Amino acid sequence: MTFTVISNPSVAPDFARSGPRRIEEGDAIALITNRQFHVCGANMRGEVPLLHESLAGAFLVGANAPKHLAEIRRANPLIPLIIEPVALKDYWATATEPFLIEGDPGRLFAMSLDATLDWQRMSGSHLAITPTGQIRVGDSGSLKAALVGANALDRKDVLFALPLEAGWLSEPQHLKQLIAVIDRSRHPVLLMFTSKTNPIESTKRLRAYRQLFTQVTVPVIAYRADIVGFDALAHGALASAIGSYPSLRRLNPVGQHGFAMDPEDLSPHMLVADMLRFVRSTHMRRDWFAGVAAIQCFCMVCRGQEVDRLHGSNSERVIGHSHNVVAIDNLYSKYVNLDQAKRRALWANQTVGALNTYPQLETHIGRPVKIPADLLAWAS
Amino acid sequence: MSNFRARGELLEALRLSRGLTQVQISDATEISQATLSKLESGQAEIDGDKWDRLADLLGVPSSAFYDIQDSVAPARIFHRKHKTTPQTAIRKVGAELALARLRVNDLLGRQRTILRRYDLDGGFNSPQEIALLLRDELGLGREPIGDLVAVLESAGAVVLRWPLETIHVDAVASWEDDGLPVILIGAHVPADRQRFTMAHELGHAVMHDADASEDQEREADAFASEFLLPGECLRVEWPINASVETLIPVKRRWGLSLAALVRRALDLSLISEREYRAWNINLSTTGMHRREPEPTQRENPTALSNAIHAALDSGTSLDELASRAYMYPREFELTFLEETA
Repeated sequence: MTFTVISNPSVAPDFARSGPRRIEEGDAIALITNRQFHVCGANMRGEVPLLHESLAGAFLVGANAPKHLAEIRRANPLIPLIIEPVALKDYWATATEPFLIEGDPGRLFAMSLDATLDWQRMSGSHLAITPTGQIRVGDSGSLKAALVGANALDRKDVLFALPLEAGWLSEPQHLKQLIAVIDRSRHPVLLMFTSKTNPIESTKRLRAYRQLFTQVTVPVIAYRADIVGFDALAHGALASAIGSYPSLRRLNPVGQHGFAMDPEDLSPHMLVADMLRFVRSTHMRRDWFAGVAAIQCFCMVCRGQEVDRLHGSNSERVIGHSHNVVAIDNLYSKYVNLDQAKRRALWANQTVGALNTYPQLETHIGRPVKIPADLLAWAS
Repeated sequence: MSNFRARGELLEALRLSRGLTQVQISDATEISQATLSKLESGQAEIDGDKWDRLADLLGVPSSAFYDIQDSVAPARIFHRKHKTTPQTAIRKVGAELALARLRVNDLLGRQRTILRRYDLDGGFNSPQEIALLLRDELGLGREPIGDLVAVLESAGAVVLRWPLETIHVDAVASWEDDGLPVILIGAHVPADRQRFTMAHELGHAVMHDADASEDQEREADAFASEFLLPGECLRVEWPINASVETLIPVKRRWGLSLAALVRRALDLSLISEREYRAWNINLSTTGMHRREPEPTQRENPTALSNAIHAALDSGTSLDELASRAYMYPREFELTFLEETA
């Protein structure tokens, strides 16, 4: 049992499926396969130690990532660590320059793409990521230029990053082209979408996202995802990488900030795994459990405390994000070593189980709770 | 092509274009249906008196059946399929399009088109890319298209306004391998929609080679959107705080409806899905969905009527031109002169 009040038996952790494992450094597909990845930002030094050594890995994000990497590795030698290049969030791709070649300060001239990836590896990243700039919706020139550049690389330690405006999922022709481009990649694709809010918010985009993973024939990682990463996993994704807080579960478009309904509310979004959703602590406290006992969480971070207890201070936010990291690994533990059909069946059971938690919660609080559109779409 | 075969195809095209069945023709002319069937497939011959009777019934000069040399095979047409559109109506328009193609070829004296076909390569090339390529090849760059009909006509396509309301389609297009692309625009189509409809049919013509599937309809839509207003241009021109007032100049410049502009903005991620819904509610509640401010001016085809007038001015008689089009002069006038005036 993870929570009181609600129960979704299909999400119960099963760590017996995984065992000790070495890091397949430099081999992208081997390293990514059968691992759940986390996108770790400001609290990377606190989150990585919480990851499960036999099944988890981390993408380290932000300016401090290279600085902290060595320290984090020393403390967690069995966790794969990959540094996200800044190009993904700070640069618009063009048809002539799809990649932002990060400069080696000691060199007078720009490095080649190959040398940039070598530099990432020398900085300690277990894999390299192409520094692809964000690609505007319909900018086929940049998309194809990035493909050509990546395909020219003759190495197996690279992930071909595709940071795309969310509109690529809205228009069937763009989606078709995206699938065709991914299918021509020599490398596993690190796929992410940009938006000021949830990029895969609508049912239409959820369907398109699923269609993409169902149709592509090249390994693709659902990167900077939320729970939709599990839907991707169930429909063909090689892996997913989920962030512990909202801005790590998407990319903001270059030069823009995310949109929040209530920017004053800084309390953490807590993963309620049985419901397959993140819910802000404040929301649960005010809207769900104002007049009844809050549900308790028995994960290794919460240890039986109420799931709505956290407020907006930094220390409390960190606790909430740590809960999320642990809950994501728990959720993934059942997927280890499952074939595609079994993953899909497991996800189907988990989504049905999540739907069943709503009547349980409603009975407890005495009024209806709206089921999110994404859960309805996943369960369909 | 054998004269028998060409004559049979003309007979079938005329019959279908008049909305008649073989049985009805048989009843009216006392030529057996079996004979008519063989005639249409070029496998029989009848005497001149019977050809005269057929010509009389179908409203064309008798000479039509003797002069015809070229194929009038039913055109492969692209059109938005409607469940309610009867197949007979579709065949009728296909026949009309085939006749129009034949007549136009004769009137324009084997004009050539500079349009070509493009390969979508299983989706690797997008309709939007092809739209931009075609823009470049037509010398349009990334500027607004003032008169789309004129652009199409100067590229060698034939555009005709046509009564298509009965089959509930806005336009049909056909492009046989050895001929000119022909686009029939429904006479009922409002000016605001006409440009998009023409661009849609152009997309079919340059990208597809068979009856359009649902997928191909979406491809033609995507082509049309990009051809009329390249995404990179709308990104630059989309107002920071978009409102009806700030979008009117954009609408005027690019000749697109507000509804189409807002849809483009969504497709380009310039607005969110929430904002798109709000826009649609606004356009709907203010009645602008039906009647937009500053409606687009209608564009009229002129190339064919100009060619006909030039021929008339140079001394060719109306009778002669009508005869070359296998028509009586009055129908010729109604079809090619008054309609495009």
